[in-house]
Order: sequence, then structure tokens, then C-alpha cells
Amino acid sequence: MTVFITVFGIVQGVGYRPFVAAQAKELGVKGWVRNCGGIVQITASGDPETVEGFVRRLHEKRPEGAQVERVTVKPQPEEPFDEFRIDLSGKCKGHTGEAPVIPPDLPMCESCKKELQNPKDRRYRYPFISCASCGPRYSIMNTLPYDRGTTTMQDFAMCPSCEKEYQAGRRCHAQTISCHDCGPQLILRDQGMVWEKEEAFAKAADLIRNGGVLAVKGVGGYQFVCTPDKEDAVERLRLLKGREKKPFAVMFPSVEAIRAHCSVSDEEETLLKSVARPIVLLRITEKLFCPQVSGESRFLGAFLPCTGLHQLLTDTLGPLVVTSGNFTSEPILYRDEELLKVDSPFLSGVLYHTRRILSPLDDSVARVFEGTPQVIRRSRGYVPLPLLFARRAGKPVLAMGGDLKSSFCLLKGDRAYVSQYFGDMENYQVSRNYRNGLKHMERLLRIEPLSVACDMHPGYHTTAFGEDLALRITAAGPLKFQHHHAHAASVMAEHHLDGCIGVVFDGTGYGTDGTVWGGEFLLCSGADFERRAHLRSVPLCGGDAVAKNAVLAADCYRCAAGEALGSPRFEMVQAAIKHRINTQDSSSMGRLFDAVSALLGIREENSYEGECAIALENAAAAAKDAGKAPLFLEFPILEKENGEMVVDQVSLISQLLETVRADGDKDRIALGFHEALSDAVLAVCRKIRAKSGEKRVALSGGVFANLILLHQCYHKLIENGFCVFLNNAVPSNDGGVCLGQAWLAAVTQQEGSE
Amino acid sequence: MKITMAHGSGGKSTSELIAAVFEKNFHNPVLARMEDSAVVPGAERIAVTTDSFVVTPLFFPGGDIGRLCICGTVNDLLMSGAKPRYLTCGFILEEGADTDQLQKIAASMAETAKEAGVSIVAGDTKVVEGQGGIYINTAGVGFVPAGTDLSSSYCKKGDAVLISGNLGDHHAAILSERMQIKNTILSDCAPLGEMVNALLEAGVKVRTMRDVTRGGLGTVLNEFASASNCRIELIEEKLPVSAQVRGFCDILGLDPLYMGNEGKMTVVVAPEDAEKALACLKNSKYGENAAIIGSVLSQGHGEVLLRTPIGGTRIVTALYGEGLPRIC
Ligand SMILES: [Fe+3]
Ligand SMILES: [Mg+2]
Ligand SMILES: [Zn+2]
Ligand SMILES: [Zn+2]
Repeated sequence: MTVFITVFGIVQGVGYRPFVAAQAKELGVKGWVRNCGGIVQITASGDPETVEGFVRRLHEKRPEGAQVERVTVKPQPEEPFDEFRIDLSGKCKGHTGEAPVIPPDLPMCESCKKELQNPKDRRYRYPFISCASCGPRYSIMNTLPYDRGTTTMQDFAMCPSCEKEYQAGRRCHAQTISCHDCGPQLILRDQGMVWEKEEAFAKAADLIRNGGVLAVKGVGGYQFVCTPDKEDAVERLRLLKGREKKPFAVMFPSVEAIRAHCSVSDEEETLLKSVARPIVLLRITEKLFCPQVSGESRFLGAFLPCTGLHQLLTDTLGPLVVTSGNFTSEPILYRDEELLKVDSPFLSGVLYHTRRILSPLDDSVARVFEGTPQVIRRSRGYVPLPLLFARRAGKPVLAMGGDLKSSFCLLKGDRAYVSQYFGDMENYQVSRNYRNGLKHMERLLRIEPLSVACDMHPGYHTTAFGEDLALRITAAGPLKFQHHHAHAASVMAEHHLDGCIGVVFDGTGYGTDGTVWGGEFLLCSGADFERRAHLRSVPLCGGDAVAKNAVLAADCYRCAAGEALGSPRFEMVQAAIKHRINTQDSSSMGRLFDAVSALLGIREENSYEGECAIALENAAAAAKDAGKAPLFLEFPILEKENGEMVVDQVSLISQLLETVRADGDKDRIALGFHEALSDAVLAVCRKIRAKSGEKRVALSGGVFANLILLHQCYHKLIENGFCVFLNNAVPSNDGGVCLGQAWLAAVTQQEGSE
Repeated sequence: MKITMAHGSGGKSTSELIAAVFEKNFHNPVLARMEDSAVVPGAERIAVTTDSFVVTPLFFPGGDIGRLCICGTVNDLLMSGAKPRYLTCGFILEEGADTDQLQKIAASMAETAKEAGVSIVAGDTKVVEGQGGIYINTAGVGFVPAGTDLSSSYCKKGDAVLISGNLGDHHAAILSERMQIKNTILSDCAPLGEMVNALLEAGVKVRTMRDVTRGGLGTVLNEFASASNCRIELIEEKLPVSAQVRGFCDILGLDPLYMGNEGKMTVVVAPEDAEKALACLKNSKYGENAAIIGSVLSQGHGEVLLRTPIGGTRIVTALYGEGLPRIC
């Protein structure tokens, strides 16, 4: 009996064909296997029982890193084969038109790690060791099918030994196969001097040991690396990056090493070791590094090595600060020439190799909430894996996403491919990377969007770009979705919901009424929503400046609360609001957190996104840890004539200013603020449920990065009979907006065709 | 005296008003003829423009609506390379407007017209119901010397981009006045004839010029970039902004790149003439803070970029709506 088998899923670049060949040989099946644009096709011949057993194997087993979505089997005319071979012809048969699944970059596997650390292995200490089931993939892929010639490994001719290994065994058809003799090699450049291979490594280790900052070429781009133990080293790194204050991530050689600093649950360990090897935010138990690394943060971004090079570095030097190689507001550097051009007294050297990176990818960031991972920055190791929708889009969709944490989503059928994080589209290089990334992914996935979705904001660069594209594709405008609706929809898309109460808290989104929204309760159904409740719309002055300057936010709220300060600065803000100079009505939740943080004297400036809110959360956590009771504060909930509810944060600000004057324990007030907000969330959701019967709640928006708030809302809602859904696979911040837009576009298409 | 509906009747009151306010201030032989239309000499290529002025308040630090309505139209003529010669003005007065104010405005118009070398040769007055507001429309005629050919589509790779002085003064002065904030910011409202003449007489190869008014420099340069299909790059540290205006903008979150001016122009010149052009601007009245602020980087992509001090590059779009935050 001969059958034709098609395997769908992540089956390319993960050693799937060698796996199939091994199964076939074991069972005595003859025929061939080949890659075909992201799927695997097999012709299997043998007696019926053997072939059946073979098909069962394909359902049951798979190599690490592979995800089998579906296996189809069709009978074939009998055909004799004398062996089972891996067919390299690239001739595809009966192509399905389904968008392919392309593997993300895979971390060094355990077998390769053993070889790396084994002095007798011929790849002992080879930094770019890989095999059929590990190594870089998406970041170096040019086109499909995934072959050596379609990746940047094509620049390296295999040596005879590698050539031989390519034919059979663990490295059979491993496209990234290479060794000390033939593959990419380490180079260290320092002030015009060049070292290579082991010398480069030794010199690099010396530089780091002596407190230098090194640029290291990682998988998706350069990283800046230094020791976390020396204050001046970390300070130099901050100067190099542009005086950033954000906590840095630290790479550890092993989970055991992480445990010396942080608590690691089983789920967190699984996440740390998962294929994406993300930076995982962990609770710090022992502050062992110098304070410049993570400041007063309660969390440390910890991660494990994902390449031989990183393993060697951390094995030799111990934990290392490893951060994206970029300068403030610029995207990650990924071309050697860009990095070699950098002329900074704070950069000690560049450790790199000549294998080109085609797609820039930052390290991904994730955390565990209630036992389930939540991706915070979706990049290396996740991209370009698709998410599966519960429904199929009639026409392929391109969703443009937001503007500051930009990412796009390509949707074809039921597969939604979310791109990597790019950054602020106002930055020229970010917008170039976004455009190039879009072209690249469209080509790789063979998706030609016939529908474009974007945000309503008239000033978003992604909106302007989406309008351009939509005109070219459809001669009509794009579908425009309200920002917070898209946030809520991103949760609906992930959890296959057809309706929910979307509680969306973030800094800024353009509302359907032309005002700025940000503290929203949306009753969502299909592609529609009603704004059922929101923070009071308060005039905020300063445009984008108010997002940086929390004192300005506080001044605006003081004005709204009828309070006054005597300072000339305050008078100016007051006058600007009165005369509506650069002033917008806003129900922003993010600015409320900023204002409260500033009013309590906790933090007055966002030198990086969320700084004031994080400081406020830390103050609340300090109260909790000290066993202090929250100070009582309350958001009155008012009802408007049209039935819309208003959550009155202005009254809360008045209460808060009074408590500041009376008590002054800012930690207790901070905790009281969190309690009051989660109480308001519960109260509003109950009122909406009473009217609509909806008991599913989606919590989304960047403000839910706040774990105290998330925790309180989650538990209060669950205890009161709500089903609570969160963002898990995509960020709850604007990085996930594209998924919501894509989902809304798909539902809109369907509703239109009904 | 207050304006009444009778002043717009076209009858005796109107004549009295015209005689008392406009003739007195604008007197010149053409206007004195008081015909239905002014007949003026001229045989060259003619530039024509018009603009309406509805500014509040009418008087602001550094200027008034009278000076503004002359400068606006004169500067528009100048930017096409024309020599401004004649102006007309139409007044729309709301009932209750103050004639003393009108006197002052007319005097200011006359003085500015004299400075700019133009004659006001025709006019009109209407009165409408309202609350004492004063609105002025001016139209201008200028002559374009043979051989002068400027266009926003002429920018080429390598060209230098200059600004004639500090950004944002007018806008900040008006906002301060509206907010009743005391500071010493003055509107930059001024006619630019002297510096334009200087440039053209020095033989500077000017590609295009534009007065930087509403929408600000960011919007003007986007128009250049798309008309010429070129990429313009500005250097942030080179943008001249006074310390006062900078402080004002910082508190209110305003970007000087999008703020209006009434006496500033941006000019794109051939690379070899950049220094010469700068000298012409700097040696002119109102040009002491002129600067070379950027260049045309390449052809083929209509966009404006801003290089920041830390080496980043920001995309500068045209103004889309005042103060709408984008940061989430
Ligand atoms: Fe958002
Ligand atoms: Mg004009
Ligand atoms: Zn491996
Ligand atoms: Zn080799």
C-alpha cells in the first residue's frame, strides 16, 4: 500500500524530515519525504499495517520544537521504492494554499549543549553549534522552502566533515550545520584591533571582567553585555544606551543560578526553558547585583542562554547584564556595519560573526500570572508562529497595530501571524524595519492581504501607512477600529470569545467621539461594542508631553478637582486648560496613575514608559509587605442620562489630596488607590452584567502590566462569578493591538457576508 | 466711538468712516481717486494673492492685526519671487467695534505698508452684527522679474535648507496673550522684503521659499518634500528657538516645529550657495538668528526627518491636529 501524507504545522527547520526518515527506517517504510513551502509531504509505501503504524507515529511523536497541527492521508497508486529518502528536489505536489508555518529561532538543544561542553567533541566550544532541531531559523530565513540556500548560511560552504554529517544522524539536513572549520567564527574588534575565534572569546571575556561594555551579536540583533557586579560597568552601559533608567535583564548560565536571586516557580522554570527562551520577570529574593541593574524594582528580568556563544559567556563569566543593542528610542542594531560604525567612549568592543541577520528581533519578555504565561514583548522565539482563530477570514487581512509598540498581524484563513515588536513608528529606522518586516513576512508566508485594518487615530503613522496600502490594494479605505476595542478584541481572539465586558486601561487611544480614551469599560459583541463606562473625561494639557511629565498630569487633575497651587507653572497650566491651549479631554488611566504617583511625591517623571506607575505599584507593594492596611479611597460611579457610567477619578483625587494632608503614609495611600480602582472595576462590571447578562470579562491595556491591580481585579471578579480572560500569547500593551484589529476585521467580513 | 450698522450702510456714515480712518492713513494718488477699481501701471508677470485675518486678540505683544494683514500678504507675494506693489483691503467690522482701535490698526497698516514698500490702492468696508470684532482681508499684487522661477518642486539632493530666524515667536505670543500669561515673548510679525531682495540680488540659487505660518516649519517642509519627492533632513540642535519660547513650549507640550510665525521664512538653496544665503539673511533686518538647519538628503521619497542630538532620527509629519497625544 502507498499513501500520500501531508503534515501541517511547525514542521520545517525543526528536524522534522530526519525525524520522519528515522521513523520510516525503524518501521521499514519506503518512500520519500520533502519540504513544500512550510508543510511536509510524505509518500509512504509498505504493507498496510506498517503504513498505518507509521501514520500513527506521525500523530503521536514529533521532534522538540515541532508542532503538528494536522496530518492528512490520501491513498496513492501503488509505487515501488527501494529505500526511504529525503527528497531535496523542491518539487511540490498538490499545494494546499494554506499559509505555511515557519519555525521561530530555536535555542541550543541539550545534545548540542553536551557537545559544546565536551572537550572530545569536534564542536567543543564552537559558539554557533546547532543541529536539525536547534539553531537560528526565522532571523536568517530569506524565502521558503527552508534550505541552506535560502538562509544566510548560504555564505558558508560546508567542510567535508560537516558535509558528511549532513547526510545522516542528528545533523541530517540541518541547514545551519557548521563547525570550527567552516561556519561563522567569532571576531572581536576593539579600537581597530581584531582577534578571532578562541582569542576573540578570551579577549571579550577579559573586557567584560574588567568592567567593559561589549556589543555581542545575538540571534536577532546585537546585545550590549556587561557584568552586573560593577557599578561603573552598568553605569557605562546606561550612558552608552542614552541614559536609560529602565531595569536591565540578566542572563544566567542555569535556572539554579537564577534561584540565588529570584524565586522560580515550576511554571516559571518551564517558561524560562521554553523554545523562546524569553526574559522572564521574576520576583527578586536576594539583591545580589549592584543597584544600577534593576534599581528599586521588585522584579528581575532573567533569562537563559539560547546559543552556544551565550552559554560559553555565562559559563565563563557567570550572570551577565544582556540588553538589546540599541540607543534610546532607536530599534535594535542588527547589521555589522552599523555597529562597527558606533563611536562611543562607553563601548569597549564588538564581539560578532559574519552570518547576516535578515529579520531584527529583540529578546522576548514574558511572565507568569496565576500559573499561565503572559507574553509582554513578543519577538525572538515566538515570531513567526501563528495563533489560531476560532473562525476563518474570508479575505487575508493585514492589521497595522498601534504606533508606539508597533507590530502588525497578517491573517489568512484561521492563522494569525503577529510580527515582532518594532518600536515607536515616529522613529525613522523603526518605520523602515516595520515596512521591511511586512514585505518579508508577506513573501515568506505568501500572504497577499486584501483587507487592511488600522487604528482610528488620525496621527498614527501606522494609520497613514494603512490608508496608503488600503488604497493600493482595494481602492478603498482601511477598516478603522477604536483602539480600546482592539485591545479587548485581542483577548477575544486569543480565547475565542464572541462577546465580553472589555475592561481596557491604558494611556491613550483615540475615541469614537474625538476625545482621548484610556479608562474604558466596553461591552463587546462580535465586531461591535458599546462604551458602557469610563473614567471621567478631564481636560489634560500638553499633548504627548503629559505622558512624560507626571507633574503636568497631576496639575491637570488638580485643576479638574478645583485645587490650586501658587506657582507660576501651575498658573500657566491652569490658563492653558481654561483657554484650551494644547488641551484634550481625556479619560486616560495611565495619566491617572502618573498623577497619583506625582501627587504622592513618589515619582514625577516617566523617563521610560510606565516608570511612575511602577513606582506607585512598588509603594503599594511596600505597604502590603509591611502588613499595612490600605487607606480607604473610593471612586464614585455616576450614571449619565444615556445610561453610560462615569467612574469619577476627580473625586478620588480630592479624597487623595485630603488623605495626603491628613496622614501622609504614601504607601498606604498607594495601596488604597489600587484597592479603590479594583473595587470600581468590580462594581462597574456587576452593573453591566446586571443589564446585559454578560459575565465574561477581558482585562487588557498596558496598565494591566501592574500586577497588584491585575491580581486584585482578577480575584474580585472571579469571586463574584465572572469568567476573567487575559492576554497570554500577545502583549496586553499596544503590541497586541494588531491581533485585535485582525480579529475584528475577520468578524466584520463574516458579518458582512451573512 | 463704536461702529454701528449705519457705518456699513454705504451712505454718509460709511464715507465718514472711510475718510476718518482709511483715507487718512493710507492716502496715495491711486486710492485718492476713489474709483470702483484701482488702475495701476505694470507690464511684467504678475503675482496675486489674498489672505483673511481673524486673529484674537487684535493687539498682541510685537504686533497687531493691522501689521499682520500687511505682512501676511506681502510675504506671500515675496515667496513667489515677486516684488510686492499694491494691496487691497476689505474690512468686516462687527457692530460695536471701537473706532479708536480701528484708527490704531489703520495706522499700523500704513506704517507696515510703508516699510514693505507697498501701496494700499483699494478697499471695502462691511458691518455685520456681532460683538465688536474686526476682520480684515487683504489681497496683493506684485511683479515677478523675468528669469525668476521658484517652485517647491525644485528641491534637489544636496540642497541646503535655511530658516530666517527663531521659531514659534508669533504663536507663543498669541497664546500667552490669550492665556493672559505675562512674559516678554514678542510676535515676530514682519515683512520679509529686505531679506528676499538680498538673496535674489546676491544671485543665490534659490529653489524655493515659503513663509512659515500656520502649521509651522514641519508642515511647510513636508509640502516641499512631497512636491519635490525628496527626503529632507533637519538637525534638531540647529533649529533656532529662543529660550523663552522653548520654556513656554516645554510647559505646555508644544512643538516649535508646528508653531506659527508671521515673519519667518524657510528657503532651500543650491548647496554651494548655503553660506552666501545665510550671510544675506543674517545681514537683513529680522534675520539675525537665521541658520542652516538641514539639507535635502536624497531624491525619491517625500518625507522630512529630524536628527536628534542623541543620534536618533524622527519622522516629522505635517501637522494633523493640535495636541492629540499618541503615547499610550
Ligand atoms: Fe493602548
Ligand atoms: Mg498667507
Ligand atoms: Zn541541537
Ligand atoms: Zn564544518
